Amino acid sequence: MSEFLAFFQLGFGHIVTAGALDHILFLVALAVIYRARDWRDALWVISAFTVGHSVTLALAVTDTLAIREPIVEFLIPLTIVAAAAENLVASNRGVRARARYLRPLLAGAFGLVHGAGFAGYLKSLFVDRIAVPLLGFNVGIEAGQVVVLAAIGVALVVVDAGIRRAQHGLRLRPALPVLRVRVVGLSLMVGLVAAMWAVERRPW
Amino acid sequence: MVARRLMRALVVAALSLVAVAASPGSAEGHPLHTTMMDLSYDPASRALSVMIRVFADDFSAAVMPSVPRRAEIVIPSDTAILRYVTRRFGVTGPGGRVSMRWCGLRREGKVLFLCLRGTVPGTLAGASLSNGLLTEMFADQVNVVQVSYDGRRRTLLFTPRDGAKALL
Repeated sequence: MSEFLAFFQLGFGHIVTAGALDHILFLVALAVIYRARDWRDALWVISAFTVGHSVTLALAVTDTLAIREPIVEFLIPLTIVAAAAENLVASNRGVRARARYLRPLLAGAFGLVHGAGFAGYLKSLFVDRIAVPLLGFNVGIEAGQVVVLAAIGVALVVVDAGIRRAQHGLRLRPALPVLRVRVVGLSLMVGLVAAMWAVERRPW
Repeated sequence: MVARRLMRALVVAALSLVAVAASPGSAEGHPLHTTMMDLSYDPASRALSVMIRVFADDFSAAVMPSVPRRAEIVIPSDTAILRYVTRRFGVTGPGGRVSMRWCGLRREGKVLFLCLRGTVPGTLAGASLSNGLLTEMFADQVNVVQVSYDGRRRTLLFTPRDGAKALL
């Protein structure tokens, strides 16, 4: 196996696992506003996130950036809370406008924080020959995120069906827009869990 | 209208309860469970050199499972480390298993660098390598082995499901 492929697998496996729950919840917070037909926008946002964390990861691993791990571990759930809060605040605005302009910027900025989290571990292990392992790891993470995003997409279809059924069962007239119920409901759940993590990981 | 608001409040409360109840503790963040090993072989002298990089906290816990984890990491003795490593890692060639000697340890921050050396009886052609370091502790453990020989490099990955793999 090539060095690139080995580190690709390492990055992929680091995301596609139950242990990556904080990362997955962040992806849920980013993806929850999209409908199936917006998949390109969602992919663009996830890629902006990858660019963000690749930048910090590279800076940290090459010792260009010094990172205090407890601070980063605290900031990561806060980025999830912020993404969820943004969903709630902006749930009345047009999805497309947000998807096109604000979301990629937000995802890229938050990716900088998440990359610092990865760097805490990788910096210690990449002693020499950094370029190929780092590239393989990042590409693996991006591929893993695409797989997770696809799984989230399927889960959201199921959630939407559940919301429709519940609204029908409760005879809500007029029924609330399914997308809005989904965005508000899931953002609340994700934000609450992340807020608890932030409290648990507070550095003071 | 009131019933509708009440219903909305109940749904929010129920979602919050589900989120709190289902939330796993995540104070540890998202750890990377991996070890890196550089293994080089010199055919002329038949010398095998191994350098293993491990996270000190996880590795110490694996070597001394009965010792509770503390904020200040207790590094196990050389004998205990060698016993653990040789139990979970090995190179087996046509001439039998390569006997590894301890050549020291150094610590850099949260990483331990472990050094082992051995002399291959015969040749490494057809040899196999197993690496189950820390796989008994973490289901998502991935051990990366970078093999250098004869100016060539090869990378092997070991997960808890993997047995021995061809070395060359």
